[in-house]
Amino acid sequence: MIKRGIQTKALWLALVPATLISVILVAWLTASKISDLDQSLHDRAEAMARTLAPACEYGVSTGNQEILDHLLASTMREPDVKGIAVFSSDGQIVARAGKTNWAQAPTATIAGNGVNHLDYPGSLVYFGTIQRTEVSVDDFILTAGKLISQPKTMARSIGWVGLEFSRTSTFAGQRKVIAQSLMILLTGLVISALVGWRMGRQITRPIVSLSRVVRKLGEGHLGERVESDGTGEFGILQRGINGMAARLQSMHEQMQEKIDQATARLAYQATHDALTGLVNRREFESRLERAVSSSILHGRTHALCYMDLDQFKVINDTCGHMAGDELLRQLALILKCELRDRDTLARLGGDEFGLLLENCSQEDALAVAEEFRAAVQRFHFKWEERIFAIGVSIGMVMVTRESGTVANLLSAADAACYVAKNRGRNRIHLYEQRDSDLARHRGEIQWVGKIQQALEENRLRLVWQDIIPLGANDKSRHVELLLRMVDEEGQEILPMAFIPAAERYQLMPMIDRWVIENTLNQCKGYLKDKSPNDHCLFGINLSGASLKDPEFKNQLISRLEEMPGIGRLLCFEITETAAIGNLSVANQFILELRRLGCKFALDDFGSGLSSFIYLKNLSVDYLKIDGAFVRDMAYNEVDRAMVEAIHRIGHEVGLKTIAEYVESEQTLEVLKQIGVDYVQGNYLHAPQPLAILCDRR
Amino acid sequence: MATQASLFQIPKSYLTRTLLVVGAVLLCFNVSAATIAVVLSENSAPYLEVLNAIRSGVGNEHSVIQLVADQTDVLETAPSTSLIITVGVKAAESVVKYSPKIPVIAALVPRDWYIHGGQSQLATGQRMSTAVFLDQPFSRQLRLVKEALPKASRLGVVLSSAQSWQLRELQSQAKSFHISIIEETLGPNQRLVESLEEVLRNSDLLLALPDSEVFNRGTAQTIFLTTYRYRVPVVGYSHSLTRAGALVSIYSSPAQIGQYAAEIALKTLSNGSIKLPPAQFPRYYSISTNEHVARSLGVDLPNEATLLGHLREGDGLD
Repeated sequence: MIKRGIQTKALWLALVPATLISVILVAWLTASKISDLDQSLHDRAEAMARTLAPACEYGVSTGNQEILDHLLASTMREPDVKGIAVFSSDGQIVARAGKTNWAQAPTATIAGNGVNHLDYPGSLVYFGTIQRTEVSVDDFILTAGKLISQPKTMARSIGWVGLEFSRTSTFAGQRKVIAQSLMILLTGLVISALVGWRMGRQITRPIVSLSRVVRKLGEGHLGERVESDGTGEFGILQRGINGMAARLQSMHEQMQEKIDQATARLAYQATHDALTGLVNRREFESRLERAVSSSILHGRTHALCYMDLDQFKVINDTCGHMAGDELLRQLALILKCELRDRDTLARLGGDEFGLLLENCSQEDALAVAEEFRAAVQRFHFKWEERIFAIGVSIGMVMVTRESGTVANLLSAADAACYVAKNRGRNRIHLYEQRDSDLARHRGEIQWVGKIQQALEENRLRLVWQDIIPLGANDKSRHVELLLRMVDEEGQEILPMAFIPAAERYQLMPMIDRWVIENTLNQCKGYLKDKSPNDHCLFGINLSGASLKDPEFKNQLISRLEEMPGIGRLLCFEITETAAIGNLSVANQFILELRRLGCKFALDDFGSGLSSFIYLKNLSVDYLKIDGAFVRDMAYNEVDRAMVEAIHRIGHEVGLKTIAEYVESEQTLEVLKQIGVDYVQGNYLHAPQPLAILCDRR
Repeated sequence: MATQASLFQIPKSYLTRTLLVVGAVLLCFNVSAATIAVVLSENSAPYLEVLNAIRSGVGNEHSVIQLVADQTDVLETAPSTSLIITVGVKAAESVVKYSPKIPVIAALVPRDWYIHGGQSQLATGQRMSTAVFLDQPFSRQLRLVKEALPKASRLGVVLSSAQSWQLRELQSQAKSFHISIIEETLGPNQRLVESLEEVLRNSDLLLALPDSEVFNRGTAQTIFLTTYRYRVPVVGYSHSLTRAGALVSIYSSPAQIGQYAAEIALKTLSNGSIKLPPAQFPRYYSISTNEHVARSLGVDLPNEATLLGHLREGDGLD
């Protein structure tokens, strides 16, 4: 565009003045040449008329036709002469030649002496006056004397000669002049244009080269340079641009270097764990993804290990996070030393590590894992004069063509690790499909999904079972609300099937919330309308997780406060393990809810082998003897003794005792003998849907 | 010639009168010397030329007074004038009414004028008069023809009817030269060229005579061109005709006429009793030839001096 712009301007600069001058000059020259041609014809015609007129004098004066014809014939040979006629003084034609149709001589027009002319569009007519030539015959003029013979006055004009000239050749000449002029003009203009174009190109070439380089630089090709060949302003410009480009390039390179470094740092940070410097979970998963691909494509075998530190929580809880972090750092350093080049060790989160052994047989993998385990076992962590021995549980899964997706592999490794922990920790467990522990683990995982689905689809149900007092005076009603899940086929599922999974995967607060909310909704009317003396106590199971969850507690309190008086109709059953696991928290929970009138029962007492001392510290109202002792007590002395002992101690600390799992008349009889306060079991009352109880009112 | 004349060109009339008075005074002191009054037709070149020739011809013997035709009343107050020489026709006619006793020599007059009226006018009151013609005698012209073109035997002449009286004289003189005259008289309304061609067809040469009806400024060119076409040479009567195309011309210049007039005056005054000779042709003459014309026509013409010499040898015959 620049090239065209400047070159066009240069071209205009060369052409416009040249064109103006040329056009004016050529126009003027042509006009004058045309005029000259016309004038030349006029001049020639006048000259011929002037010459011919005297020549005709003799012929006219003597009336000699022959002389005139001869004269006219020779004159006719002159170019452009179309016709000639000789007129006598009275206007009659004396002689003629050529094709002209002469009318009588226009004496009025041509009167007078000399030469006159008439212009016609295609021709030109000249009239020359034929004058008598006077010649002196006397040596001197003798005057006076009438007898002295004076020549009688004679008319000097004796006729005219008329010449008609054709203008055809003049016009042709004029046309030729115009054509030639135009040719010259065009040639001149073309030469001017060529010169202008050439000059323009000389000017534009460096500019074009500059602009090309500037454009390239603009596009980012900083290595581009102008060919510096000029010495003048262009040279300065070229060198300037080259200098600028060089500086720009060096700055760009420095900047790029910094960017590269920063990018590398970012990339490192994105793929590595900041604490240990090991690969992070994301990077580990992508490497695992590649390993899986290579297995599928090339049939390679790799090993994936999921490692979880044993006793890490103890160190973290007793010595603080700093100690935990330091432990992880030191351990990472040790484990790195055990790595082969192609292996990947990653920190997957908390105290969990991942190890990917690429192109490794199961045997080698187990050997490497064992080295890792041994290395961790050898390591003793020292912190503030204390020395901790730690271990690691390793779940291993082989990555083969059939091993499935990354998620499957991680899940399998995790499960294997879980098994290793379950089997006593600080050991390696290789994942196998038939593994029963793993199957259970898998079952739990499946239950999680089912529970969530049931909650979403409202497929959980509440049933109630009477807790019957054995004392004759006790007329109050006491029931326990039990949870059922309805599967997709409509079958009821007992809670022992899905509650362990819910407990392991932290679903219990959600389930407890559902239970309380549904209890309140379904029995709202019932609970409200009953008089205080005719009330029914609803036993609701609470999980340890819910007990520990402050948010759950707050929500429950605010919900109960919305319904005053409702609290005294509720009895929360907490398990021994849940209460003892967090004694202070459990006590706090119990105290706060007691203020709202709620009662508490210690559930499954005896199964956790807990100390009786807790019975003193926990402010509960009922003690539910674990069904495992009650079920067979009619036949088993030990169980009967256990039940008796628990009942006695419960009574001693002021609690009312409840026996579960009463399945037979014998059991009931024994319990009556012992003096248990309440009994509960399918023999006495099979659980029924809650709606039946609530609709009884 | 013109240069000479200019010295005496005194156009103012008072000067003339002064000269006249001076001349009269001189006469009173010199009884033997006569006074010659020269009357010019005009105070112009050819006449003054004649005057000069007269002055030099007369010399100191007699006094010469100059008059112009309009001032001839002076002649009344100058009775001592012995002789009047008029120059030109106008001058001759202007002196007719004055002093018939004073004899007159009319110089530079055409012969035709003198014969057909001039002579009788001058004779008024018994005045003695003579003339020196402007014309050349036929014999002299014929002699020239013989000298220049010895083989020519047919001489063509075209004259207007007014001048045809000269033909008989010419013819009679031509006989003695064995020359026949081919003549045409130009009648009124008759085309000159036709008459001319008629003459030229039968002539060896054409003799031009001073006849303004035939030879004038307008016709000269045509006549000469026609004679060339017929390849007939022309013998002219003036130097101008030679220049215009005549082969040869014979003529007397004003000076020659003046000179001869002076000679006649001296002879007359020397006789004591004045007796004038008859009117005559000028004694002195000149010849001019046109070599170009001679060459064109293929004429072997002797040069002017030779011709003049031969002609003078035979002057007595005129």
